[in-house]
Order: sequence, then structure tokens, then C-alpha cells
Amino acid sequence: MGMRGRLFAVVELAAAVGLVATVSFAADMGMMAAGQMKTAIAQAKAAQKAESLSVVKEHLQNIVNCIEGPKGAMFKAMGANPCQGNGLLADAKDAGGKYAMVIPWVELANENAAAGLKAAVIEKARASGWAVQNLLEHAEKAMMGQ
Amino acid sequence: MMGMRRVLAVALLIGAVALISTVSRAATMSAPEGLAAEIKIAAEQAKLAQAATSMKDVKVHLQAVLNCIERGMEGRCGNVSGGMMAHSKAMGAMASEAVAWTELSWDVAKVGMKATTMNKAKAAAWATQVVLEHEGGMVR
Repeated sequence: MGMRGRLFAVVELAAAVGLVATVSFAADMGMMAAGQMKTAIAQAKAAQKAESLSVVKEHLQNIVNCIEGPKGAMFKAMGANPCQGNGLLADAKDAGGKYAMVIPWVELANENAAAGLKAAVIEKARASGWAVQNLLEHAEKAMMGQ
Repeated sequence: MMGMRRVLAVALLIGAVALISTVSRAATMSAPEGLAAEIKIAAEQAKLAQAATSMKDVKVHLQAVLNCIERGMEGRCGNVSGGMMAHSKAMGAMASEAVAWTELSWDVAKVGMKATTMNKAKAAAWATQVVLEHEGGMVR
């Protein structure tokens, strides 16, 4: 194998490693996003069952934290963050493909959770929790290709 | 000539009676009846928004939803006057629940009106429909 052949082989190897790393990163981000989605849905269900407005809002804040991640504009540290990673929105974008397609639904869920955080009555805050659950479940089905 | 006039007069009379009866039926609707009727029309508009093929049309239908919530007949919500919000507030023991869901449908439709992409606007229309149908189930 000449010098030129070796050079090609090295370039091919580097490209293959790069491709594997990219695919693996996207898969990791996809798994991370799927986990955050499940946690946010569980929080939305908990919000609807909560007995006081402050507890409903705690769950809604957890949803915002899961969706936006620590760098989010509405992120508010409240003890342990139930979600890992950079936030559902960021991780879904990084995962690309079917994960990135659900971003409008996730954004909408985030806006609904934020509206619930501003609610003055428990009925409105719980209703927001219901809408968040429905939006995220719809997005989850699309993510899982159902 | 006289015969023709009589026919026209009778036709006008029938039209007037039909109009009065429609307006009076709308005016005499109870809060739950009015709210249910408005929800049905608004949900239909939310469905049309999802089927629309341009951003402009999506927003026309979402605006129709907002009109049903806010103003009723003045904003054209079928022949029902008052608006979902006013009817929700008049729902007696169910008022706080009804107002919460009506406000939520308004919030979601409004997000759709502000959307800059079709995907987002249509997602908001879907959510508006789902929220309205859920409220409709409670009012029935």
C-alpha cells in the first residue's frame, strides 16, 4: 500500500469513528429525552392529584425544569432535579430525527406549565397539568413511532 | 300583480318569524346550553385550523375560537351570544371549574396565534380542540 493508500485508509477510519460517535451521541440524547419525557408526564399526573395550589405548582415547576434544563429561562432549582441531562428540548434537538419533530409539542407543554405556574386558583393550575400531560403523551407516541 | 305581492309578503313574514325564533332561542339559552353550543363550534374551528394549509388560515380558525370564548355573537360563534367566558362564569357551582378550562383553551389558542411555524400553530390547535372537548364533556 502506497502513501496515498494509507492516507485514504486513515481518513476512512477517522470518518467511520466520527460517524459512530455521532450516531452514538444522538442515540444517547434520544434515550435521555425519552427519560425526561416520562418524568415530565409523571409530574403532570402528580400535579393534577395534588391537594394544594403550592404543591400543584411544585410539580409544574419540575416539568419546566425537565423541559428547559438547568440553562432554561424559567428553570428554578428546587432541591433535587427529577430530570437529568440538558433538558428535554435541548436533548431532543441534539437527538434529531423523530425526537426533534416533537419539539413544537414540547414547547407548547412548557408554555402550558408556565401558564399553570401563574394560576391564581387550583382548578386552573390542575387544568394546565392535564393539558401538559396530554401534549407530552401525544409527543411521546410520536417519538416512539406509535 | 296583487298575487305576486301577497306571495312576497307571506315569504317575508315567514322569514321574519324564523329570524325572531332563532334569535329568541339563542337569547333564552341557559348558561350550560350556551356554553355547550359555543364549545362545539369552537372545537370545530380548532379542527379546521389543524386541516388548514396556510398559516393565515390556521390563524383565521384560531381567531374564531377566541371569538367564541370572548364575545359570542359579536365575534360570530354560530347564533350563540354571550361567549364561553361569560357563560362559564354563570355556571353556578361549576363556575370555577368551567372558567379554568375556558381560560386554558384561550391560553392555548393564543399560543397558536403567536406561533411562527405551521407545526407549532397546528399543535396549538390540536391542544385547543382537546381542551375544549374535555370541557364539553364536563358541561354535558
